[in-house]
Amino acid sequence: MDDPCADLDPAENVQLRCGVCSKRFIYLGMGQSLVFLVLKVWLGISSGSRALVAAGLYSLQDLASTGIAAIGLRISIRPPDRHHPYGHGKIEYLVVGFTSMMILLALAAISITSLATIFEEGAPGEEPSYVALWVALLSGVSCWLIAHYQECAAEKLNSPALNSCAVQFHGDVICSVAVVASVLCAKAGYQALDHIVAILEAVDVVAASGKVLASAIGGLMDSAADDALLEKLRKAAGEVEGVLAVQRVTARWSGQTLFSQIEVELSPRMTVAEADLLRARIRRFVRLHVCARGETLVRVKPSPADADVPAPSVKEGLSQGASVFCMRPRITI
Amino acid sequence: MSNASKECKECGKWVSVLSLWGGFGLGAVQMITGKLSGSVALSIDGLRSLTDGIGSVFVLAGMTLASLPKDASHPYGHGKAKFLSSAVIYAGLVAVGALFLFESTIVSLSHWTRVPSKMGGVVALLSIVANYVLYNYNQCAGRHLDRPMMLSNSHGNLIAMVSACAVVTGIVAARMGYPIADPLAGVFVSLMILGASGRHWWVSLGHLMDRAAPAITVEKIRSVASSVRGVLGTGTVRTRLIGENLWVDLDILVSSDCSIETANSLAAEVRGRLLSKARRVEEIMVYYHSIEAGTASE
Repeated sequence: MDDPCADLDPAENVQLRCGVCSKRFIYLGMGQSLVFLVLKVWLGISSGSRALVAAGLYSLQDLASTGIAAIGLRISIRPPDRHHPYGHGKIEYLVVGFTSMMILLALAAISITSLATIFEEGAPGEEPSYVALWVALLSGVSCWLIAHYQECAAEKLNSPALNSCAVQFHGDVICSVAVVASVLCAKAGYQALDHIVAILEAVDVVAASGKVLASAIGGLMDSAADDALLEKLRKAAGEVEGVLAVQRVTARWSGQTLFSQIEVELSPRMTVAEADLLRARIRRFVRLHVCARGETLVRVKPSPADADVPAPSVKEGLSQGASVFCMRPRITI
Repeated sequence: MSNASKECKECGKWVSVLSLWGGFGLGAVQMITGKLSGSVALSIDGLRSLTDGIGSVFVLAGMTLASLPKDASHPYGHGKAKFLSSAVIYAGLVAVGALFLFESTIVSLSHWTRVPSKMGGVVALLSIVANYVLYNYNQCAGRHLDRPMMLSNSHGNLIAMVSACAVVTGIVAARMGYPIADPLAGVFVSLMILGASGRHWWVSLGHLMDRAAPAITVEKIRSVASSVRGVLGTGTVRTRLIGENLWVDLDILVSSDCSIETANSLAAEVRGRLLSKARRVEEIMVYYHSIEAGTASE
């Protein structure tokens, strides 16, 4: 499928449009989860497919986590205030942590139930009907569409909470595929496979949630941005005319916002007013070429070398194919 | 180092160990006695002591991780590990508290007629005394060694004393002919667990969200920075807690004609003065701006 955001242009426009798109698909995801929760549990029970009932519980999970993500995203875009001078972006990591914990608990329960059923039930259960197969197929396709759009918006907006939702919907796709396989196997006479598939589904989604949780913990622990991004920041600052050297660059993510600190060396003869202008230019350059949604603190230091030393020119890397957005490594399953 | 501070350090060490293992030991005794004497409230109080002990282990683990030095992956240090471990454990304790509340409410509503024996009351009294002793030692060592963790522990001892008082009251009232008083005391203890854990959890989440230091601290930072000769004012002051220490981003305003060399030495002086005067400030990044730019941005 084509990238739904491929034709979008300039930074603010993309931010706005992707923001609208993300909201739309969050609410669509909630609606879809609610519909399929009812359908899967009802049809799972009536058609005798345990895997479909388990898949219904994933839909419940999707519903809860997208609801929490919607609230988290709403809070995360609030401007900084007296109590939160760095903004509210970190709530996205808390949302991810909360939803991942919920998934882990729910899936552990499902796995235990399925294992108990395999060992306790002597007689084979009821054979699932083809209705379960069609519902699973429908759910899989819709989840895949939602996950695709959410993933796109998460990538453009650098949103961990949206990414977490996308991972969940991806998990739902795998889950639906597994249900289809299990119904077919049950029809072929392998009843126990239904339980085994449910457990495998659980393990798979647990692994994905674990990855998302690990990235959220990294965000909460103020882990450094990746080296490529730091290098981009260094190059962007060095590109500005008047900057003699770039000393130290640190950056951390706070939800969708990148907080970076750049230490630059300027001519010692420069006045503070001139340094202010240069600082504004560096910030604008970083905003244009590295990260549209971020805050850059520029620390100015007088260069120990003579003022007439020409500014180092770092042209490569930025002039060609410079990204308007900073991309963080994505977690996909 | 004076003899008194050496004594305090020694005292601080064994008080920490005693608080941790005392919590486990007391919890086990309370739970066993609660079952033997038939006191619901004492059993719940015992579980509270045990979960306190487990919580302390988690917090200590978090603090050990938090004390690791900065590295390339964590340029701001590992201080947030403390809040992360606290957030996880207190979320668990909130769940446990809710479970206790549910259980004790069910018992209360089921027309409880069992009267607990005197032994339960004696153990609850013992818990009050033990927590009172620990409270005093934690307060003393915490204040002398300037350890917020110990002061927080002393607050925990205070809560434990209040809940043990509720247990004693419940057992005495039950023995005086009101058997429902014991499970009702259990409800009270559960509510205390919920309240205390919920408060700690909320504070941990706040720090994970980069909550700012109190306004009084920010004002102090502003006044210290402004006291440096040549600094015409302060702009934005942003603070956040990492572990037990503050990280500060401070904008100072200087004359626009000032050379950056002079402004840099002013910034260094502000930084040095703040680091020496402000308590618990680990890192200060001072950014200087011209007074016109500062006024415009404000």
